Amino acid sequence: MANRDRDTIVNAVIIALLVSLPAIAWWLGEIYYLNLASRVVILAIAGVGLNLALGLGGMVSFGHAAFFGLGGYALGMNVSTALEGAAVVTWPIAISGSASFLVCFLVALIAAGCVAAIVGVLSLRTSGVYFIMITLAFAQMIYYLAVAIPAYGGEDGLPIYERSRLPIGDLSDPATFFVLCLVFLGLSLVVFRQISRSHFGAALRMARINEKRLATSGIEPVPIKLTAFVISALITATAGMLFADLNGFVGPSMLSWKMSGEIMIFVILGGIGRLMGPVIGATAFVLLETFIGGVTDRWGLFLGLALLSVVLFAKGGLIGLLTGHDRND
Amino acid sequence: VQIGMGEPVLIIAFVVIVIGGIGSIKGALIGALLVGTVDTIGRVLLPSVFRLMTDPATANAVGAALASTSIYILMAIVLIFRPKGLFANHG
Repeated sequence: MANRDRDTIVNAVIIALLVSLPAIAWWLGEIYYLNLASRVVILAIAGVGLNLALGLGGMVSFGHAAFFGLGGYALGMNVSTALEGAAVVTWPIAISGSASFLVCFLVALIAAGCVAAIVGVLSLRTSGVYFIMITLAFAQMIYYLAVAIPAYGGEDGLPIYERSRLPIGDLSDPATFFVLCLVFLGLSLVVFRQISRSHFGAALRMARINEKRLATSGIEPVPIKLTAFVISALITATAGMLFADLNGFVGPSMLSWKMSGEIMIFVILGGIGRLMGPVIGATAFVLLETFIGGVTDRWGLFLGLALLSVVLFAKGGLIGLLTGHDRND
Repeated sequence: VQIGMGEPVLIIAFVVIVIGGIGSIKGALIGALLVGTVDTIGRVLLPSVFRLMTDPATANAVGAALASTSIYILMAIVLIFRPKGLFANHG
């Protein structure tokens, strides 16, 4: 019980800092830090998505950049064609692009959901290192596909000249955009928490710990894992879409295996399977990247050292250090 | 010599090992031959296949990019039908 109290306090402090620090930055007129905070929040959403597959389901997906990038491209293709007044799809029927955030959101979810279902069905035939490699294979296929299509920027990527539009609020205002990102982070955390407390989450956990035992109790492991994989991909795609909107740019780098690695670093650095793990992990990553990266180009060395020491000495990740205990399951 | 030298080899080596089956030396040999062959043939043939359909400039670009995916498609196909690689180690 003491553990749980301390968890609640740590989580509350993290959320309070995440809301108050950018609010102070905004009040001081430091737009740069507000955008930095949006970046942290967006990457945290991607981490929460992967945490569902990796932390709860034990599916070490090295292909989540595919979903991240798909979300980004869904928004980029829609908004950039809408600004030109061109069609985003010309076959079988011509559909003109839309600059509406909600339309882009829907397209991102549908695209990532369909791809995740296909990738999941095929990949979940394997496990362990083979699962890592086959998810990587699919992500690389999508990466090279994006490089191969010159209409949407190809290797150079696709600039998006305006932010997408919401019925209420102006997303080109950094504060509004940050609040939107925060709302999505909140939603994804609620989804994660509800899933991890549900019967579905219990089954998912058992699929990670002992698949045979889950099968013996009358639950097929594969559909459970597949569902979690798809939900995880949807959350990551949402993050990708917001990321493209924030940067005004989407390119193949969002689909590359380095992005998959980064998302995995957020989860491992923060604490695998912990609710706020990816949030802390993404924060630490962006802070290292920004502040040590500002001093030296070799900030990756410090990231590597931090990751190594967390993996070797702090079993529950950074959140394990703060709460003083490893995950409970 | 440069810092990024290991990078292109890193992922391809993983692909080779996974196709062959982790822990199998015979698998690594066969996997390496397969990956090398498929990659080279893809790079040679795919651009000419695309040249039949579109103009040469885009054909070269699209063909080259898709040729890079050929080894990953090979790996995916192998893993879908042999989830533990071609020469799984039953140890």
